[in-house]
Amino acid sequence: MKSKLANFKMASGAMFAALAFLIATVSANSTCMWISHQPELPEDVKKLRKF
Amino acid sequence: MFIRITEKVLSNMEKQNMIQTDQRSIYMYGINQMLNILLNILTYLVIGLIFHMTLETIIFTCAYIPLRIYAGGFHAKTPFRCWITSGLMLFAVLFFMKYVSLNAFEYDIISVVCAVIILILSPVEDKNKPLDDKEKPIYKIRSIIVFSAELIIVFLLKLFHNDSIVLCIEMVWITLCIMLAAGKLKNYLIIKDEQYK
Repeated sequence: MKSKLANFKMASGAMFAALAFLIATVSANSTCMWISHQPELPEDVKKLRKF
Repeated sequence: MFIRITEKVLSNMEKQNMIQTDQRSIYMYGINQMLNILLNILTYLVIGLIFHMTLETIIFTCAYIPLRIYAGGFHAKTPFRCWITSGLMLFAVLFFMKYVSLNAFEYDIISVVCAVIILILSPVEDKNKPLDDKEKPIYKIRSIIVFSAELIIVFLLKLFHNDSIVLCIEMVWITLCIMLAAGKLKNYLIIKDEQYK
């Protein structure tokens, strides 16, 4: 049971990390990510630009 | 707005080797944005429920975001102000849809004018994410593509007389037109302010 819970934690953490990376990538390739706030883009995020 | 929570989540992920340390700033940015988006989605759903217009809220958001991320426009200075202005914006949109009774033809005329303004003004950059000469034409083309797709959807829906969804998409164009004009004005004022300094 404990190992199943640990596996679930790891899998959900990995999914969360992937989603965070995806959001950063979308943000680098668009004018803004959401309705009305655009935080300053870190240099590492700027490198995710696809063109 | 969520810096402390983001830091905590990030250090937990680092401890469990889920992320690479050299990409910390990317994850920091992504998680922070994710939490802001989540808060905004929840707020939108609550406002939609208050007006008993949840479906309209979902359609409005789904049509607004793809166009907004390429067309740009006004941005609040802080995430908190963003949350407030986004909420007020949706509140105003739903209020307008529910209580202001214009006929379909009047909405069509206003949205056509707004659509032309969107196509002329987009993309409107923000000082936190200035667009270079390579990005500007790409974002313009992308916003035209998204707008064209929405226009086709509106024509098809009009054929089937699905006026409530048409109204949602037309409200997207009207709202975005206002946001683009506000963004242009904000950028103009920033440039003028910098010239005086």
